[in-house]
Amino acid sequence: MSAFWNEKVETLPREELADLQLERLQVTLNRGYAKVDFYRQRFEELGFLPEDINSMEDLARLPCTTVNDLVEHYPYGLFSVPLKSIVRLKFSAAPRIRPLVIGYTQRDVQNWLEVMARHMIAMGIGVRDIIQVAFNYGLFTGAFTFNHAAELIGATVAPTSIASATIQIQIMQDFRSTVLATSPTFAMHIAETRERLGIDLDQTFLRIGLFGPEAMSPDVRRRLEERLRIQAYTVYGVNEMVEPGMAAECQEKSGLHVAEDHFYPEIVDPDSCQPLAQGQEGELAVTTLTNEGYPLIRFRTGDITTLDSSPCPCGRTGVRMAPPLSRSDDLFMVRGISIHPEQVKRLLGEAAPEVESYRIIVRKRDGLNDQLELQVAYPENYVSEWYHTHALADDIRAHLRRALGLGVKVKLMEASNLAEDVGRVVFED
Amino acid sequence: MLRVKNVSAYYGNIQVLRRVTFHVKQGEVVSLIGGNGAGKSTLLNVISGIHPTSSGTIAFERQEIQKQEPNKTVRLGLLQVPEQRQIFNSMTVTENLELGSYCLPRKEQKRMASSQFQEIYTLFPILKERARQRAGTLSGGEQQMLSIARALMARPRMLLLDEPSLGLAPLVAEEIFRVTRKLRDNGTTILLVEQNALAALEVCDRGYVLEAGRIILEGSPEDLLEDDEVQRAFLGRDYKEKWER
Repeated sequence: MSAFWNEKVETLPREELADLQLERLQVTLNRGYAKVDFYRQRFEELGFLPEDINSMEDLARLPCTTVNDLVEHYPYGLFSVPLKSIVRLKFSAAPRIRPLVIGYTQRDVQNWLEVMARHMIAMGIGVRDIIQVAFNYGLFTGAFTFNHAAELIGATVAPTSIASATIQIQIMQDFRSTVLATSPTFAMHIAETRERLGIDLDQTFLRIGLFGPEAMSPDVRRRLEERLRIQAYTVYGVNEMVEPGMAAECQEKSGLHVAEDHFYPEIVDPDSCQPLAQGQEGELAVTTLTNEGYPLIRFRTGDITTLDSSPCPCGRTGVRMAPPLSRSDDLFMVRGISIHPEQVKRLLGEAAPEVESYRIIVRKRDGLNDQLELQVAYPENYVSEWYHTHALADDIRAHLRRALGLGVKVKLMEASNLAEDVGRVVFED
Repeated sequence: MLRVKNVSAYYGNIQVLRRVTFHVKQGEVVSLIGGNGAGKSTLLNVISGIHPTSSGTIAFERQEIQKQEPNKTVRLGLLQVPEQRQIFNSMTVTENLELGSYCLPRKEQKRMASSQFQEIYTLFPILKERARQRAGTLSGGEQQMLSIARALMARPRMLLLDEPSLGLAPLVAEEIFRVTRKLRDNGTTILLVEQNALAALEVCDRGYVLEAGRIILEGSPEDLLEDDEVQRAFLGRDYKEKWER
């Protein structure tokens, strides 16, 4: 037995859901066509009119929207309402590298909270729970969503942000937190710290882990569940729409239910952008169905996953997506911050134009924090005085830190040591 | 209750409705707002079968009715109250009302008649006073009430109201909307077409905005009232720039 936040919508028969989606898709396309120059131009180039959409399948006639499209129309090119109707702006942590801004109207924000509240209830979170939110409120604006949604369902919020693991554990004990919302990485670090400090599991009251934005592998899930004695659930989001909240696991843990009355998911071939048959693995593309401020049509998320619309024992009818564990592009994640190799290249060029070859080392550590290291070859004719070396490394480090909001290790070395990995991202354990 | 899917309609070569999709649930009052020529009245005429569709389906309680004659849709309990009232001027109020129940079986007409009249007179006391008067001599507001009352005589499951406040003084229009609310409270499902967006949004549960034959917005009345598109089109506010204040 499981409770619902909005039972009617969450258990809507798929046939009725399809009707609702079509109705909302048409509204979205009509609005896009009428209000957003980018979409109108695109439609006109194709000789396409919004009324050419007869069914959800017809959507495949439209090209996908990519992050680059959004970047090209920065700042307000894709907004479909004037700014006075926007109540929240969300922009990337590094606006200079990949400028992006998304706007939400009052209704968009309400819808966002509503889907998040549904997910929390689906996981078994309720009014008696104390949710410890250990996300970085500064860089990850989605952290606030946990607060507001928790308040909406009547739970208690303990925002611990990025306090150290020791403090997190202390708060966990003192407040008797029952839910931990954080990244799987940090959760693992908390679990390790608890063991190191010798605190007995009986002294903590955790029962549920709500993890994002990265997906966790089955192995990580198993270890987290064991070491923290919790049920671990993944919540998924798309930075350009709602993050977190687009999809999340229910207590069955057999895929993430997509809030399909607000978002229409498709699995597409990353090369052709054509939809793939259900069950096939491909890139997730999403069309917003109710977004007023920033409608997105077939937006490519870069996440590789599958969809399954077979009935779920929990009764929810929303299609289930597999936890996305890989990406169709080179984007990688370090401590919850998404980084594109192109960003690093550009930043490095700005900080030290003389550097010609480098490689990026990402050390993914389940337990300790991930580490980003930049190995840089000495520039040609470089006089290797120690203070020179230091100054160069410091410049690069400071510049990257400022732009990415993340500490980066910088190592200077002979070009020959970089081997064939020049310019590439290397993952190390 | 009513599900309109991908409906298009033409006047000659001019496309008036462009794949309109929307729904009305049982017991809901849904308003359809939009400016002149947006296609609102056409949409109602298409639903009741007066105007043909060129594509799409209309389902009333899961039964497809897009090819039905208007008299058949009336029998299903889907009643339209036409724009400009369209009452029979030379007949008395009572006669007009009697005609409203014409579609019901004779026996039922007789059996229902007195209680039905009673109900209608409670809803519109003024019609009782004017029962013997010719409909043409009534005031605009009274005629509108008669028009609605006539539709109610057929005991509709769903009412399509086309611009009930058209040409009425504000106070009279308010009276009409009061009746609309009452009908909703009695469980009648209503699809209301209005140019008077403010008033329509006050009585409805949900609304759609129609523009040039396309639905561009759906939402609760509060959402729609706040929407800049509605404000621009109906409340006379304009905007040119995204960052306009």
